[in-house]
Amino acid sequence: MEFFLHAYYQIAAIILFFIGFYLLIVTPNLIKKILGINIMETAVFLFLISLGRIGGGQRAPILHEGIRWTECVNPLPQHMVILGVLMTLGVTGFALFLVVKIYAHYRTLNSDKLRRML
Amino acid sequence: MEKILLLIVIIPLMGAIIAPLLGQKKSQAAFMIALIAALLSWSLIVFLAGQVFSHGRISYPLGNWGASWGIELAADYLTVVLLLTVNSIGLLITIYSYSYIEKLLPEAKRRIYYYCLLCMLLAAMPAFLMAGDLFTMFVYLSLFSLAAVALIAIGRERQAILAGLRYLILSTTGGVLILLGIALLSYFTGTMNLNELTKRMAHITNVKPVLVAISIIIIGFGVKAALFPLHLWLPDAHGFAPSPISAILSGILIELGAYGILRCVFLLVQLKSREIYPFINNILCWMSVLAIIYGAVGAILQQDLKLILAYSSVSQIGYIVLGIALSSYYGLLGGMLHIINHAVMKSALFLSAGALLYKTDKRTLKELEGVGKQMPYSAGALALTGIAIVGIPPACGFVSEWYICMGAIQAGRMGFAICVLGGSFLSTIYYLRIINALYFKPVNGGKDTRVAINEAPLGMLVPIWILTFASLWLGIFNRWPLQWLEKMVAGIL
Repeated sequence: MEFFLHAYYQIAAIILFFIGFYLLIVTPNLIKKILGINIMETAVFLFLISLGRIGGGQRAPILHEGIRWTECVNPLPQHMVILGVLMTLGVTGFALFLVVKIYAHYRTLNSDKLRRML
Repeated sequence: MEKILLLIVIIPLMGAIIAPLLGQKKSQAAFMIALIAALLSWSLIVFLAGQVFSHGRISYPLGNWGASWGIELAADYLTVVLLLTVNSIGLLITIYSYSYIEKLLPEAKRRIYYYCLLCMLLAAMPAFLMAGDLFTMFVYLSLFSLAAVALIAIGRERQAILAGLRYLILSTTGGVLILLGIALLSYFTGTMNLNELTKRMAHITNVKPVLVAISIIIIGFGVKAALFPLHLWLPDAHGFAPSPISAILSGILIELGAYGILRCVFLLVQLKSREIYPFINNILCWMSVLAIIYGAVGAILQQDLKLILAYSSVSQIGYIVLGIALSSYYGLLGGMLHIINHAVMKSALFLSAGALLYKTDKRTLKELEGVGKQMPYSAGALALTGIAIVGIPPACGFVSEWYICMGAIQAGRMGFAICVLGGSFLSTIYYLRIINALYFKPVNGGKDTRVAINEAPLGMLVPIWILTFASLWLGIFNRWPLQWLEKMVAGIL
């Protein structure tokens, strides 16, 4: 029980990850697949952010007199998350552009039907 | 001196920015910019290789942060040998692109995008190889995957967009898995730097979560490398992409995925004495053996020349990963050597298949019957590099497959050695099918036997033949890459 109280960020991240993975595999709709990838990525970012709490502190990592490092968060995972968010933005935008092109030509977003046409 | 590492990345990136700007008036300017960027970064890499071979590992911490916190670019023997291979092929493909793209993309605007994206690929591929920490690897991996998707989808055929989207979805999923694995690994070890990780691996008390993290990263890289159950994106993407891009995809990009697996296996080898290690190792070996057989059988069943080559890539990646996963001395050596050899021979094969497609506009073996007489130089290159894929002695494929066989015997796995030989036998069948169609079938259904020679332009033939000679040269004078790879493997084991 204590484990669940301590690790609720990580558990939420894992649940989110599998929701995204389920969406990616099960739905035939291309836009929902892209949404699934987005949810998976969000789960990984949540997980990364939660790694930043080294000593349980939640302050911004600006060190000055009277503040110990255990009170601050680790800035390294946060910098990685910002980079990751930017990359997700690029990938999502590009994937949606391709989906628009595909819809304009084939008039369907169902990936099972599209596979038969390929 | 260390700043060369940064310049190798920055010069092609600058090219990617300048090419669309200067290309507005004349699209040839965009080609010139891409060519100059590729030439400059290639000559810098040759200089860097000289430095690394004489002084050892060179590393450059960006922004003067210490190596275990900040971003590090590093070049050791393995990196430099791969850099030389990757950038030489990249340069040759840039030259080849000129005539091919002129025909494929008649609008000048699309050609400019093509060269811009090619420059991005040329920047991201060496950067991925030089990255000293896992997160930087992930960033450049995403960059070149995105550029590759755009290049697959740039062609005129509508299926190309569908193939591109399929690759984008699968490779992004792989990227997410890599990021998750990196996060877990940094949580349990406290660092992402590869050197630091290798040192800390020996002192880990709780092994299972670390092994899970490394396995997740390997699955992610397996998607990029198109390892057997994760190869679904590969045949479509290779079939519908423009031929120079198929050559980059098959010759370089999937090898970079294998390089990622190689780096993870370097970490795994440090845990060799722990009890759960053989389990993961066995799974990786069996996956690659299945890939060898599946890819070869798939290639035998195909009719389209480019699809035959694509399935043969699935099979060859199996050889590479098998050698790496055996993690015996000769196995690792053979796996690394096969990365280089496969890069050279498969890009030569795709470029010559592209030359046939460029002149005749025909794709299937049935349509290509008798083309060997019409295009003696392109088809000759295809036939000569084909013997490297099969693994007949004077060509380069033989050497690395021999080493992988030795590695399997050294690790005490005779069954895997037999599988390697069986895969070689199966690849003989599809190679002979290609040769049969090109040379031993009557031209035009046997009505008119005289054929006029109608060759591809010189700008396409020169890169093809340089790569063909390189594949023969690597088979005969293989001491040169091997001496550096031997030092690398001796340092790891």
